[in-house]
Amino acid sequence: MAASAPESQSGEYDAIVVGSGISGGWAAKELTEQGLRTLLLEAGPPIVPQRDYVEHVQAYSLSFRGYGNQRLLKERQPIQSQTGACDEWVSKFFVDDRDNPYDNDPDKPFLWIRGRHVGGRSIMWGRQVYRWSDLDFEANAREGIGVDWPIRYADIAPWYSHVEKFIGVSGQQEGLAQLPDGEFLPPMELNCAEVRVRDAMAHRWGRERVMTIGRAAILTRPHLGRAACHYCGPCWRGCITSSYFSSNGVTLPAAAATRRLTLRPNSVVAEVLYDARRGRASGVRAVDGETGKQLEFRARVVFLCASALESARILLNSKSARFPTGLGNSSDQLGRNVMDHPFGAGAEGTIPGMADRKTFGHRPNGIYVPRFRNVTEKHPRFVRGYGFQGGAGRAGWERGAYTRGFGAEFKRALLKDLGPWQMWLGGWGECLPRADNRVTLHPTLRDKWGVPALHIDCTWGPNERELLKDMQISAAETLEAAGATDIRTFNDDLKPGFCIHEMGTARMGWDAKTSVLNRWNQAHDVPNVFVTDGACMTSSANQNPSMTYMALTARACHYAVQKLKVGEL
Amino acid sequence: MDRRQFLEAIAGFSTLVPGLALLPALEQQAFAAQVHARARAGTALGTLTPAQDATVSCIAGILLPESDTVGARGVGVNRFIDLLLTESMLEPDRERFLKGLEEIDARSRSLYGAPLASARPEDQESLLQALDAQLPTRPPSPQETEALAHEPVTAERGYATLKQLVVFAYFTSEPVARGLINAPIIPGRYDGCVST
Repeated sequence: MAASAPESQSGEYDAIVVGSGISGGWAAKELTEQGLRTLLLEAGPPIVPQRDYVEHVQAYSLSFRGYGNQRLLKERQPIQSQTGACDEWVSKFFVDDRDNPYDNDPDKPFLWIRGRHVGGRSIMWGRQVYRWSDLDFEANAREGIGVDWPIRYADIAPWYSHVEKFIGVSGQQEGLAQLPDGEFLPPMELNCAEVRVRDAMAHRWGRERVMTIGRAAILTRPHLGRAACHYCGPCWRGCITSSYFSSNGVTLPAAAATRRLTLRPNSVVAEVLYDARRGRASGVRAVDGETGKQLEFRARVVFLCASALESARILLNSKSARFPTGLGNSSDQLGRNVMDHPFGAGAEGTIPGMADRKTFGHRPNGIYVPRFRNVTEKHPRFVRGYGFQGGAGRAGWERGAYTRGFGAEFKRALLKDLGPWQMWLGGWGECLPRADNRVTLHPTLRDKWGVPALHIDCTWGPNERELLKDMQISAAETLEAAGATDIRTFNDDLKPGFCIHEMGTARMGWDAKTSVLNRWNQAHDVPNVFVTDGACMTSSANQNPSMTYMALTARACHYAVQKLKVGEL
Repeated sequence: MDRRQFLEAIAGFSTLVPGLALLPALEQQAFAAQVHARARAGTALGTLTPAQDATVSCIAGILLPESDTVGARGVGVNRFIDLLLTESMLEPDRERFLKGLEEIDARSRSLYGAPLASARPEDQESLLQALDAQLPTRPPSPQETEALAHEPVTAERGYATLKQLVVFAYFTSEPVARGLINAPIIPGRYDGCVST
């Protein structure tokens, strides 16, 4: 730790937001729009879209044409590069694993995939956005698992609408209770093979097992000054037209337009400062990411939006006489109940025929099959369920590596023809909260900036393993019903964390004795501290979680501003 | 419409400093151009010996020969593969690749008394037929990939890896990707079901 006195910002802020990803961008927008002078602290460097986005750069323009510099990746990003998006184009959007270490027991592998730059993972995210329903919010209470959510669908529904109207969500209305419809822009098209599978499913299962187009935060027509998608394909490399939702293209410009936003990149927040006399947080201590200089910032309210594990890490590191095990941890729940979605299991097969049909353009979206297990009937082997994501397509030249043959005709076929229609379905399953899936501060390991690193203990439980089995069976059965051939099931045995939906480390609940946050994402113990990223989640549902973080963030911001106005914070 | 026209049309970049919008592409591409120029310069390869290079080029030429369109040798797949071996590939993968070439030549020697590149054309083709008949017809699962890394390298395995790299190197080369396939970078729309 540097011995020099911390730089104290003379500027006074109403609010500090830690993290500029999906949640932090929303907090910055909502707080500034409601009049708060807001300091947004981002641990990583700025992003300049015109310089950093590379979605239209072709493989032949890269040194290794997309193969990547495997030696450099192994040396600096052995964890990050396990995800496909960390490719030769945009490995720069993923953290350096050497500078950002964490630790786990060898028999409990956990993959923590992170982006540290302005916008965080909102640049590389999967853009799938689904509402939760009361099937999800009531599940813990109904089954006596974890603690009850302190909110229900009615509490969050208006906030989902608020978010959807602003970010733009393309999707198809389906009228299903377990996956409420939203405020949709026109849906993207299913392709020929997907239509065939959808129709076969409707014939076999009616409204019990339904295929719809993915609901995606991607514009299918111009929306609030942003251009519609131009279907170039690789969204995770950035989008110069901001046609999908990112903090950089959507919420941060809105926050900046208020002139009440101060964005400070390269600001690594190490702890939340606690004023014992007032029983409130007074601000945060940070380290300048470039100079290593100690910094202190003060504000009336602090929003932690640094991502589930980072926010837990900051709170665990915020020790005081009142909170010797971390700020707001009187319940001992801080850092516990880590969840991630079990996925990477399902089936694939060939959809025969339609040799004279193909797709045009690169649809950055797939299909979705909303949860159908434990919706109306109780499954004998597991609770909760999973949704399918997937899609169909015809392979181009890439199939050549796995197609027998050689010579002029082989080359001609790879240049001119397409492979058969192939379809895959993979499950994204719900993960149950378990107290012993937890993160703690490592006693000695620190990151490049001197902040204690995490030790992560997280494993799948029996329910997650049952879901992974059932995903394969029901995916194969679904493809079979559509007349698919060469059906093959798969279970890639992916480790916790790899779905990049980590959550649960500072859960919301009714009771301060068993939860960290109340029904407004406000720390039970410290009323001017809010946590609105994935840390707040009381259960995981099986839907992709980002839009729920956005909605909860907007809701918490409105609550905090109300309370500030009446002098209650 | 090329990338520049597209950016100007959609994002109004023409009102900014000319060329600014192209910085990302230009920076990344300029660096790549240096790497590619280095790979092309001179005759010396970084890793492949003349004998190994002859084996790679021989197989590449049979897999994707020159016809009415350019072939694998014409776009220099051997030089790109050598670049991967020299600057990118992890040591165990590199060793396995080179061992694969050795096994293919050993098979050729035992059958025809000469390494593959020096064998008669009909013998070259019949050995490739035999190796190709064992080619896996789908990508390995993560578990299979893990297991493969510990299996001994056979001529069949060596051939499968080389075929993957030759196909990749050929279709990602600029003359092929841009000159022959030329898929639109900015399609502008998505149609789920059109005629081939």
